[in-house]
Amino acid sequence: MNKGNAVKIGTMLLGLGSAVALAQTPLLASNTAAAQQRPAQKAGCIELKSVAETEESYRDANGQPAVRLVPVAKVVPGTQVIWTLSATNVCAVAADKVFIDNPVPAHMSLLGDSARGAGADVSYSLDGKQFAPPEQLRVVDADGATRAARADEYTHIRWVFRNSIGPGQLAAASFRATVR
Amino acid sequence: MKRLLALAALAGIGVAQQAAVAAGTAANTAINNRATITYSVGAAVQTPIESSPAGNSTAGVGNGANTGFVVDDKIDLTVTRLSGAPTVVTPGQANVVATYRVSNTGNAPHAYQLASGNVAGTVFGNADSTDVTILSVYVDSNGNGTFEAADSTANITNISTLAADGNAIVFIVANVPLTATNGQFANVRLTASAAVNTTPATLVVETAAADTPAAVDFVFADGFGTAGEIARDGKHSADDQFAVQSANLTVAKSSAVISDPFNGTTNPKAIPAAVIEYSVTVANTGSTAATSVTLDDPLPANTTFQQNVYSAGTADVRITINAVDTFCVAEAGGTDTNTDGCVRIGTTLRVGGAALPNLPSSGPSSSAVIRFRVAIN
Repeated sequence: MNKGNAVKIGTMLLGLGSAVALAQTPLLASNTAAAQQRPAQKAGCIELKSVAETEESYRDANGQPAVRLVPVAKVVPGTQVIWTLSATNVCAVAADKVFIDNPVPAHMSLLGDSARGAGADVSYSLDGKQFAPPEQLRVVDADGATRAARADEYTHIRWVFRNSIGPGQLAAASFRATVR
Repeated sequence: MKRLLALAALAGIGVAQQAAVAAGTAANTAINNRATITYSVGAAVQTPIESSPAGNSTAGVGNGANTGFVVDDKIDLTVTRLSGAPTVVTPGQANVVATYRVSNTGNAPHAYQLASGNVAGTVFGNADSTDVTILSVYVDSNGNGTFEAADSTANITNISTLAADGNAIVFIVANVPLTATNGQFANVRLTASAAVNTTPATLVVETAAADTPAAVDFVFADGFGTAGEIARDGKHSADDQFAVQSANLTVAKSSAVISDPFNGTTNPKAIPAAVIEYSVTVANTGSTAATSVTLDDPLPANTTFQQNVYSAGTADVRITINAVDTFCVAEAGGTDTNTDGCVRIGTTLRVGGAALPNLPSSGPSSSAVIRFRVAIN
């Protein structure tokens, strides 16, 4: 429903290099004609996959209660959804200075401290432009007082991978959010 | 760095995600996600790549696809009684009312079937001990929370639609049988069952099969309202209680010999021509005031009613309530000519009307002592 959910590319603020203006052809949302006019699609070096899952309780082989992830099941307000992003290097060269931006989906609240990513530094944003660790994100209440932002107020998540992703290697990131 | 963050904070709060209703995101709302990865090869920053459910490696904005699902229909409702105490009723009272609120705490509009019944159990700490005759369930037609004739005229017996977060007032209307007695309690239960919106006759069936990510499934999320009802059944219920209260009169009668012709008033004996005083104590041990109390006492055979024996020889009957005496004259012949409440009908003494005020259910005024005298023939 909300194509505005698609990510804007921001300049990097975490010291991973100078801001780079990216040559982008703005895409008209879901417009077939526009798609046909698009220049030859450019194969990238990373395949990025986003999967939504929910937890399911079950009993393991020993009869012990356990939890596993299943493709997103019935979802109602309050349901926790686990979003997993998998980035695979499909080229023969290493991908450097990798970062993933993900807006918190509309109608969802990010669960505090739920963003995970091996080898990645996680930061958050309140506007999708400027990212920072949680302790540095503050909001101004109606009464003018400043307080730490809550996780459910974060609008974007960024994972900055410390190391290059070599050919064939996989980098993963995940976060949990509940339906408002 | 810090400067930027401060700006981020100020800018960020302004674009906080849209507020959802208390009941949560509406059913059928699509929730989508699309991440973007940015990387460099060597020194060259590459065109970012968007995610897709199956994996996308085509660079450029718009080449990814949303991973998403639609929010399912959370069936949740509560039924609560509005009274904080039993509703006091009297035996024979008609159109007594138990008032409830039915709330849609789910995320989609629904209709609700309503059902009522007498139930056992304990409510407000009082065990159920009698039943009322339930006439009907009515939805409050004008939403003012009070049962009125217009509500029974409108005769809305099910809720045809309640928006998410909406609620409706519902009445159980009943008659109290005359056979109910003081101190009894009658429990009633209202049960609401989620139905297809605007079609109360069709109950919602929970989707038993696996989720369909792109379609709205029905998920029961309700708790249990009363003992015996189960959670997640698309129903909710609440009990309310009527407390039967009535006056409860006891009558006790005693006699004493006042005088006889030989001993006078000193140790008089019950011999012919002796005067006997009867004391009849009428007490209200019920829960409400007794009104229009009338005592009929047939005079014993072989006795003669004594007139003008009280109040300096001006009255026939002495009535004592809370240590205060009143007197009256019991005319013979069945007509209370002075309308003081006392009269003799044949050989029966009647004390009532103006002679006996309402007897409250407690306190020193809850009992009356009625005295009169007869002579043994």
